[in-house]
Amino acid sequence: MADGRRRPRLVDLALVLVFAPYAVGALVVLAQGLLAVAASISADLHETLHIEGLGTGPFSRVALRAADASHGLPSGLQIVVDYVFSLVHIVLAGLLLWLRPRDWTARLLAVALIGAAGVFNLTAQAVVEQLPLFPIENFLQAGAHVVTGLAYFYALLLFPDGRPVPRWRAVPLIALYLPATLFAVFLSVRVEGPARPAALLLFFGLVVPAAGAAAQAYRIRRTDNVTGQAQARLLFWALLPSVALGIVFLATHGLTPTTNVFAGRHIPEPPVALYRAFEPAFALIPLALFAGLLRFRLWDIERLANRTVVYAGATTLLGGIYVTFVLVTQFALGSVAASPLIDSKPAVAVTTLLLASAFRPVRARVQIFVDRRFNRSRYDAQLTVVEFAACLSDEVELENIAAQLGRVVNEVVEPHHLSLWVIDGTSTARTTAPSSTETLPA
Amino acid sequence: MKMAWGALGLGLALVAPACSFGSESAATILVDYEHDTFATQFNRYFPDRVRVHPGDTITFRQTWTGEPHTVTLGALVNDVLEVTKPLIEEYGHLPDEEIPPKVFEEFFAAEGQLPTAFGDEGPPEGEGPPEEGAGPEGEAAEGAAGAEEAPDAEGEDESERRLPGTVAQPCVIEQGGEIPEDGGLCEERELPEFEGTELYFNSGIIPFEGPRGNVFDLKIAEDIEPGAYQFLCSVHGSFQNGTLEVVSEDESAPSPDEVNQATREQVNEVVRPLDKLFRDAQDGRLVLGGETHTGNFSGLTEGFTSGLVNEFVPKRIETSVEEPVTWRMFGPHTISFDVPEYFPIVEFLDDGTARFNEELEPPAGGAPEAPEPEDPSKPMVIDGGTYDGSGFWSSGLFFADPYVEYTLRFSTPGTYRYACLIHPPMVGTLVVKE
Repeated sequence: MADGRRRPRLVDLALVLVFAPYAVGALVVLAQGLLAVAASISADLHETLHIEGLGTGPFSRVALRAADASHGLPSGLQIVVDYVFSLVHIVLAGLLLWLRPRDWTARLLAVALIGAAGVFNLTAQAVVEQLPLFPIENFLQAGAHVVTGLAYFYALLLFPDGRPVPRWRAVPLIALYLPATLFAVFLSVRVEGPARPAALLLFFGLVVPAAGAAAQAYRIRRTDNVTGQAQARLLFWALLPSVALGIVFLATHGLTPTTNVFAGRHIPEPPVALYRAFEPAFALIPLALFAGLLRFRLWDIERLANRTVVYAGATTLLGGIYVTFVLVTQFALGSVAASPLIDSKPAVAVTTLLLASAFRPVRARVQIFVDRRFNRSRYDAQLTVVEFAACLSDEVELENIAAQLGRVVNEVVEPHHLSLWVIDGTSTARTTAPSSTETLPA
Repeated sequence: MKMAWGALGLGLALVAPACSFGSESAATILVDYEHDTFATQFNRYFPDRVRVHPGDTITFRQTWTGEPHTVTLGALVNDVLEVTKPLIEEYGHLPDEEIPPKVFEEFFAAEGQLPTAFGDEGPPEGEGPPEEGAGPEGEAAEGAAGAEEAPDAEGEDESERRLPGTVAQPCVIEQGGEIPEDGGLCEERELPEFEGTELYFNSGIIPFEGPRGNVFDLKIAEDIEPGAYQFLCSVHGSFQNGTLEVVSEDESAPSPDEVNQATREQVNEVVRPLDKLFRDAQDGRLVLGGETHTGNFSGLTEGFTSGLVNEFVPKRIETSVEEPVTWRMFGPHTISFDVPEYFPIVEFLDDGTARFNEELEPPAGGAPEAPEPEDPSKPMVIDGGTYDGSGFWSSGLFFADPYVEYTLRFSTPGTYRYACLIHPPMVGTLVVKE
């Protein structure tokens, strides 16, 4: 593991190579929606996009889509709701990757959340669907649906501990999951025409949440630690509205709920009811994960807060130094308006390099400062250890020492899990510190 | 992990500048246009004049509004437009009754030199030269032998509306050659570079490849003589025309962006009156030719114009069982329920010939035939009867001037989507309540 932290593993590189274009694709989809919003506000931009849309490059198509779609956008409030929905998904995906970069469940969830941010943003999707899709666009869109759907499917099955349910051996598990995977791919890729929205609804709105809910129900019954059960219960209840909506929507609208194709005629009419019904239900899932993260310390919210303060502080400090430096220099040179520092590219490059090289030491100083001010236990770790050593001379009960040790270790290093092994000469006993919920195999 | 991200970023940074999103085309000319707030049809080229250099490639990109178009050039086209363009400029804005009959004679005499989609009934079955790689030889032989009396292999009779092969398919005829008078296919159907000396140089009907995906690339020969080369659409005639101005390399030609700018300016100009028409129709009150129209509309156009609004207005109509619904139909449209999968107006047959799709024109599902108009200057009033909500039903295609007033009732409650069979964006919804 330590070695893996120093060098990028092949699997990490492969993941980045797959994930980066996928995430960029989702962001491009969202950006198209914002471009259309901007074009609906600015007549000049609308005209510029139309002119650009007459060209032949890839951006021409984007421009034409945005210009055309700018006339039929949802209301301002709905646009805000769409983008808040997407933003929550993206932020959580970013946090997951940042805090748990090697956790496969976190990775899958991040992929799923990024995809959902793009797929379930009606404003952006209305722009994408404004023009009939070229075969390559169709392929990319179907591919994104497959990746998003499967990532969601498996993430919800594996959450939170990364171990598949039910606890079967590999062969029966594969036999169980493979048909579901193939079914998902079939629905996303092979179903075309008017049945496509229904197929996607069936998959995203029913199959994925139902599978996730079933997996979490299984965990609630089979997991013996309290936190794990609470996590599973939270996600289970968050998934139920989607399952219920999926059933109701299919029952009331059948297999052709709404479509942008009418007998081969392209009609850019986004399935508004479908989106508006499912958007809040799908929003519950990342919100539940958020709540779980805050309430059960799933992924080190304290560490997150600490890092945010440290990096924001370091950036602000360096930014302030830079601005002060520029202003002071300009003032010294007697010209604020036309300073050669502003126009000089080498000066900018040198300043940037200096700032980049200063970042690490500054960050370290800020870290110490933050720890001293807000995280005394970490700052006083040495002191705490000394105090603990002193306390050992007065304490003789093993259970009390174990409890004390657990408290100290939790305060100082904030581990994910803590187990204490005690050797009494003839046998080895293990006790678990109070903060830990992990049970190691005997 | 961070290094992996870094490596990817570096890779993208290196690759990105190498990506070129440009095109080899010197200019793009739009054929037809669909507006972004309502469906339209423009029998025009945008821009209608472009300056290019020898060796350039001009891309004609057709917006698929449902109308077929060609790009036809050559000495013959220049001759025709020399006569017809001045007449259009002088009389084109006037109503028919104010135009001297001599003008019509002159106009049609000039256009008669060209094969046009509506000017020829096409060849008898099987008489066109066989298409290379077309259907089985047996079919062609059978067609040739039995064309006079028997239906062809697809069961069609002789009344089908064939298009002349010289219009429907690519065709090049050099100076001194002759255009096949029988509407048959051209002998030379592989389009070379345009040299400017050809008698007739036709793209053929730009084939339907989905909305906004229909393209014809015209390569100008390196040794073409500088000068003005005019082009028109063989389906819509002289009114849809344009000019390629070929200038020598030492003279400037607009960049593709400048051409696009000109396109947009021309589009904005012609869309403006249609925009008002559409807004008035949405408000439920339209004044056309001095007459006030209210109610439902199927297509909108004012007098003779190269632009039409191809929309049902309003898009959604609510009615009750047996309550009559009336549309005023401006322009060539159908009102059709339970429509089949969209098919283009022109159908290409295995032998290389083409015809207007036969499902478009006749009434279907029990709809009445259009009556003979008693007074052609007055609107045609048709009672379409009752649609029971099941099966394909179509009013049939009307070309009536000034308009058709079409009434229909519904016997079954429900929500029905209906469409024009010619114009794919033209779709409406009808809600029939108890």
